Amino acid sequence: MTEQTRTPRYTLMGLVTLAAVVALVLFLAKPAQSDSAAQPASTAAKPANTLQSLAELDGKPPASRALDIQTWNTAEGAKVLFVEARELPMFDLRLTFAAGSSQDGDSAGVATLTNAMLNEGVAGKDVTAIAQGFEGLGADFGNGAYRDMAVASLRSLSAADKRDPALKLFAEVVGKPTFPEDALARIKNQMYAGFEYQKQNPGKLAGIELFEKLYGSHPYAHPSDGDAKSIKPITLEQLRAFHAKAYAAGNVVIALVGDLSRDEAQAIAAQVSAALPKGPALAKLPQPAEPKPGAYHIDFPSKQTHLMLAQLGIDRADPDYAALNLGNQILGGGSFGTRLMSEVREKRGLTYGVYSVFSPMQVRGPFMINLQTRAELSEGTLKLVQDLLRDYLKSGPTQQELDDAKRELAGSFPLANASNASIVGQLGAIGFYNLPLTYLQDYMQQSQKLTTEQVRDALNKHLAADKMVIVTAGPSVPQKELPPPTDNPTEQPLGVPEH
Amino acid sequence: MRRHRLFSLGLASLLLALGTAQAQAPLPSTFILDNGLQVVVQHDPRAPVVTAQLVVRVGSSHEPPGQSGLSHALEHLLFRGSEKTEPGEFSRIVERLGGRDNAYTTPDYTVYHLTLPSERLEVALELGADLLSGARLADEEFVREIEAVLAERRESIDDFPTERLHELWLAQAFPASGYRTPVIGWPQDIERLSPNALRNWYRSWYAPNNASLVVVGDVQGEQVKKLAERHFGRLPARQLPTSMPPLELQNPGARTVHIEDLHSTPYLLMGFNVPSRATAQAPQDVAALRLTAALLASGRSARLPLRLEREQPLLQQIDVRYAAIARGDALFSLSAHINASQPAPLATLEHALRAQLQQLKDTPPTVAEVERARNRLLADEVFARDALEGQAGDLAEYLGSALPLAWRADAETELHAVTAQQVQHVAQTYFTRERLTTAYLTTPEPPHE
Repeated sequence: MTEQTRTPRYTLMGLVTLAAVVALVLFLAKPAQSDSAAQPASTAAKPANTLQSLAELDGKPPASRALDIQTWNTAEGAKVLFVEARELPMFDLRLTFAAGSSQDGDSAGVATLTNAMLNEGVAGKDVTAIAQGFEGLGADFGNGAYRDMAVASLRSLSAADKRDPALKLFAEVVGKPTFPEDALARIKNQMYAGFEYQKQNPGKLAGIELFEKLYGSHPYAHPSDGDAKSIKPITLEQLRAFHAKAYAAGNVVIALVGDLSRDEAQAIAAQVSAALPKGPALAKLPQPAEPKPGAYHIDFPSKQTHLMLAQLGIDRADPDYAALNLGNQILGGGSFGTRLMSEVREKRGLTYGVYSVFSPMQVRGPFMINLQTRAELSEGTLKLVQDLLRDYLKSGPTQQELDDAKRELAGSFPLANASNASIVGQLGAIGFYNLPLTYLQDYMQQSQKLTTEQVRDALNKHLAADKMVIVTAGPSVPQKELPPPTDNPTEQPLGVPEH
Repeated sequence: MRRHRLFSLGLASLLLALGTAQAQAPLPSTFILDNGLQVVVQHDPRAPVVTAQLVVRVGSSHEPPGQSGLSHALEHLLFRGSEKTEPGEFSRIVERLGGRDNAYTTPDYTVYHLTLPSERLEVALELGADLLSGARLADEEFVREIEAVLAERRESIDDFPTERLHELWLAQAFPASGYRTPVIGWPQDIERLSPNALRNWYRSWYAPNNASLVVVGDVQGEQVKKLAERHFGRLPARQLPTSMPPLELQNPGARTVHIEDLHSTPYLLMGFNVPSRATAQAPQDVAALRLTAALLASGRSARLPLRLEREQPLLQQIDVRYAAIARGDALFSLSAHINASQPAPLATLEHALRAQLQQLKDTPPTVAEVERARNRLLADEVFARDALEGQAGDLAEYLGSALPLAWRADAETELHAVTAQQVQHVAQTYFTRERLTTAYLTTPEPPHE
């Protein structure tokens, strides 16, 4: 057994990667890609299997765990969501602040630095004493900053002798951090090292460029970490000021899941809320302006070329979310047998993986298609992907594709609620994006009722094949023609997808 | 991509009360079919979801020289067509049902696992029985899949100097046993594998009497028993090859291995030959070694991150491991990179790590340190129960190593009993030069010092 590596070793680099992922946290937990083979799989449209148990399934959606979500506001104005789960003697507490990098203003990186400094010092305790405090109780403290949100979390045993001191320390860390100077210098140094490292990563560079082109002067445009130039002049005063306004009780959602009574949950929320700075929610972001379509290339000496295609998608409140998500699942959201995967990988062997995703955020997040291919085939592959999107928007999904996608969605629903860890994530997102408490059930019912026409119309309302912002990163080499589609491509793809 | 793993992960689940009744995990129910298949069911009704794992007791440590990688290649091939599924269809079926699946190979065993809504459990069991007995292992699929395995090797091992070093280090650290064999296989061996070799390997080891079925989730033992009998019951038991637990020399002697790479941050890997729970004369030594690993490097306030990362900026990414659950002997390992922003020679890091181990031998740790490590291990075991796959993986570890499940509860008791003196005692006993294999990754020496 391996027992020493629980501490998340997130570097600040890692936080950026997570930013995109966290936007999807609500019920978008896709089954892990688990394909054993580099080789394309069989593309038989109809299952050829002879599994009796599969044939006997009645096609009804499976049952899922009923979540009794309780909600209230603390005296200071923090919104609380709570699910009592008595089975395991532990609880999860997750604070989600509207304190992501979209609140950076002119100092890109201030949100990330503030979040990273929370557990570096409180009155009478330095970073080591704080770590000792949590670890001595067996508790886990976690934190991270993304574009919309900044998170601080605690997982602890629920027995009072562990819970009470862990909560006391947690409240100090999120509410009264002292921001020691030497810690700021150390964290900045780690970030400089991270910026150097990402210069060697073409996928990373392409992602940064893509957001810049997509969002222009909007606060989503810059990466959450900022860059070496932007973080250098950031002062402790700025971090304190950012903490005072963005970590205020009116700007947080408190999610709690675990072995707690309602009274205990209420006391915990009150304790944490009272420890935070007083203040209201920050103003909502403006919607981004439509970007100008276009293609941009980053010359990079790699074997593979990274291709990213994007346009503005939707915000979390958009009523078309269910239709778009289901439509996307068929296009490129799943792991196997999506349109993109079957045409680009399985029939032509051009890539290991090609994925598309809607990332709904507080204001319009991106719709993105993302893949790597051999450099000499990159232009042909790009055109193929664009053609596939164009065709799909024109024809929409087939009835069979839609039925399969609905069945998969219904089947994965129970898995999304199975653990305390996944539930606390759902609660955080429901609270943060102001969704109704019945959101998960509503979403499921809405999805199951969709028709092929509704999905097609929603996709066309929000996407257009000729409006893509495209970023490529790779070497400039003479281009070759794509191989024709076949059931057994001979050319093997290079490399693995970055996921 | 299916992942092999060199160390088995997972934590023993908590069976002892931690002060409240619910701290006790319900005991799993266990039964054995007439053909020898062992079935273990852990009831967890929190959500209508179930994880099923098929554990087959064969891994890289069973492989003869020249045929390394057999078990892992076979794991790949099993998804490329069977009596009931077309190549690649297995995962597609699971995904279409909203589930997820994966598989991995370890030195001791191979695991195939699926998670699905609980009312679809029967599909998982039918697929599992088909894996165990119905594989086609067709020539043309072998040809395609072996390329994938070679690509996996290039991408996950050969392109990463620390992974290559790890392989070479294992080969030194286990001079006398099959644990020296890399799970994915040596490249020249993978290239020499044949469809026939895989078929023979499959026929030899994939039998109900060499497998366990673990089911965790919202199901009852009786229900699983009925389904297991329906799908696995018809499979015949078979005579299994003889297999001895991998045992190591008492005093193998100091060993080193060294590779250079121009673009890597220098890296050090040290491992001591130690017993596992299966081979230890004194089980208490195992608990003390587990606690020592946590004391040294679990968490930001553990000794090594505190002393050698923050007080002195010598290292980064310190990792200390001890895999106590195995059918044979084990290693206690420490690894770290030098701090790239303030680089010191690798020898300085080695010296500092050795000094830290010497200190454990000279002076028992404080009670506070022992309590910190113990609390962390105990809490982790509760936290690990939050995920069904984690619970099943923990059971798979014991079953794959053919160890009694009752030892999970014992491990808990033993951990509670560890004292600071016992930590000092295991340090003195096992952290010796004769048990140590050291591996170095450095950049080539510049022309001047």
